[in-house]
Amino acid sequence: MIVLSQERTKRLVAVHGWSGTVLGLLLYAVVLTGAVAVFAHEIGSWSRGGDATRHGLPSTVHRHLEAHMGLVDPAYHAEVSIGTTDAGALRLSFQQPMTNPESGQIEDHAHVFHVDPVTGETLRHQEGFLRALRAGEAGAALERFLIDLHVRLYVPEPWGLFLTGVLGLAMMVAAISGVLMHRHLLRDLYTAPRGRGLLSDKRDRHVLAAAWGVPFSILLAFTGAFFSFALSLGLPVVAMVAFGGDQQALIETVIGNPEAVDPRPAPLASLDYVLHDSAERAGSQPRTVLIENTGTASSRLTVFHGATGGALTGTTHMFHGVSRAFLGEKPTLGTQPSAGSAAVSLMAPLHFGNFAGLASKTTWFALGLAMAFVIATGMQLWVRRRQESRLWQRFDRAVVITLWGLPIALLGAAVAFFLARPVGDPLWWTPVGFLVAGCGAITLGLSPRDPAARYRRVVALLCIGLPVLRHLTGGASWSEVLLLGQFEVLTIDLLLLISGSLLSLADAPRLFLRAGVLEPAE
Amino acid sequence: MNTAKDIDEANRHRTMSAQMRWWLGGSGTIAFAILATAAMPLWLPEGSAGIDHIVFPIVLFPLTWAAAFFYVVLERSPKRCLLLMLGAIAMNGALIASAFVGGPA
Repeated sequence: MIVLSQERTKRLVAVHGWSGTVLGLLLYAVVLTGAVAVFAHEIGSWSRGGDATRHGLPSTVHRHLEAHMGLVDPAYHAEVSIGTTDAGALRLSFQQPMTNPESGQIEDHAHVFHVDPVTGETLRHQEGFLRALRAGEAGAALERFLIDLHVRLYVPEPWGLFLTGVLGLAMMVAAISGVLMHRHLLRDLYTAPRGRGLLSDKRDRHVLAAAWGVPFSILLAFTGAFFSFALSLGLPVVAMVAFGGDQQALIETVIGNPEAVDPRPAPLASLDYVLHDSAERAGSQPRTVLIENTGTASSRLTVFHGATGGALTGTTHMFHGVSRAFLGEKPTLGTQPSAGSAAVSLMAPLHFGNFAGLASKTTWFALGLAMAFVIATGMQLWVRRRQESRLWQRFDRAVVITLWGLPIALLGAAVAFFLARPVGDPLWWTPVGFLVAGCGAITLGLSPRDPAARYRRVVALLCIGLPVLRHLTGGASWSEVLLLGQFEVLTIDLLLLISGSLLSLADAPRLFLRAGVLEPAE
Repeated sequence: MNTAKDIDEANRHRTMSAQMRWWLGGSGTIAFAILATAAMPLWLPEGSAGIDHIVFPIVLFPLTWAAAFFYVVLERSPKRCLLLMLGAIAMNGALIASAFVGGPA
């Protein structure tokens, strides 16, 4: 129990309320999209009609790599990245740093090949700056849109990152002030909601969800603020003092200074042997491989593995590219293990909840939704206490519109993606769908009647309609995805259908009452 | 017995304190957090890999700001709060200035 003077408690109540209200609508948007973005990859896979099951890199990598090396200028051998595509093909990317005339910055220019892992046939060849090639992947439009919306609210860089960083700080303030001002936090964990529709009932639900979610809220707010500010503010500020403003020098120091290149030609060691060796050391199949200075005496292989066996982070192994000697495990940052590297490598799993597969992702998703609920009920409580003011009455309507409008707009983005996939450009139409559905939701919310029931029906309709639309626009059928073991497609379809049905059923008693089937007491 | 003048004085004092806290909690804490983050590489130990003094200021930025913010909110005396915050800002500013005068670390 934390005992504070009346004056300090008053200040904390004001800080708690204003921090959650002034930025509350945007905070709700970031938290809700963040909860959904936990499953961004699964949603992306669902939108593509299912991805191929990944079993790591095929054992024929070396042969396919050599066959494609001759197809590109040797300057592109400076760095070769090897991985797999969502469709299960081998992805070979030959790249070299080059000045992008559009941005004026040095970026990786690449020749990217998608290769059939069995036959070695080139399925696709792209050439361009990597950033542009990634941004142009139409199949990932929905997934990318979700992540962009969460990371920077679709505001241009670096302002979007500043905005979400400030929102992270506001959330941290709201959560910590909530802990400090509640004198009976442990008792609040077991508060039972009181009468239906009462202000105290709303408060009880707010306190109950907030009390259980406090550690998670602080953790997410802290890691989220770190991700937003690290590159947009922290890096330039530290580089200014410690490296005279040279951010590239800072990055090289943190990642590990590149070794001097020995340009003498030397054959690349057997990649298949190195991958096998690395898999035995890590206890899991490699996900990606990076080859630096390919074909020279100073060639080096970096092999990346995902997290396994309850570990929070994956492992990275380094091998000599010619002698295939194991050079050691590479930490996330620097060339040897350090507290700084360990701290940074914990940030991603703690923010994304992706360290224990579906179990941790589901927990993160559920806690994210609980946080969105806390923000929404917090705003409603704040407004209900100030109902006499016309300004707060308008804000109350804005809260209702945002609470329902955001899910409608997100579902609208998915509708637009599916409609645009066979006929147009989903990269452009997905955000347009979000905007159109959002505008529709705002229009619906501006009518004088309480819009909640209509919103519920729209969300229900969209939830039920999406799986049908996915199938009608060329998506795989349930029997096809079951045969291929692409369970995420089936799971998301079913979740949407169940959510839509439950929302439709919420209106059923009212419809029965209207039809005279039930008496009001029932 | 309090006169109307005393009450006015007390109200003015309360308003000024609230305004001081408002400015300190907003721009004051942001200035402090940015300066503290910039100055940290100058005194933090480098660690075994020689990167801790660069990485930790960036990792700790949100916590640095939150600590300063809650200090401003919870400090009983607004004057002490102002002095401490200005002192901390000046100290970090001086550290950064000394780094520029003596060349980057």
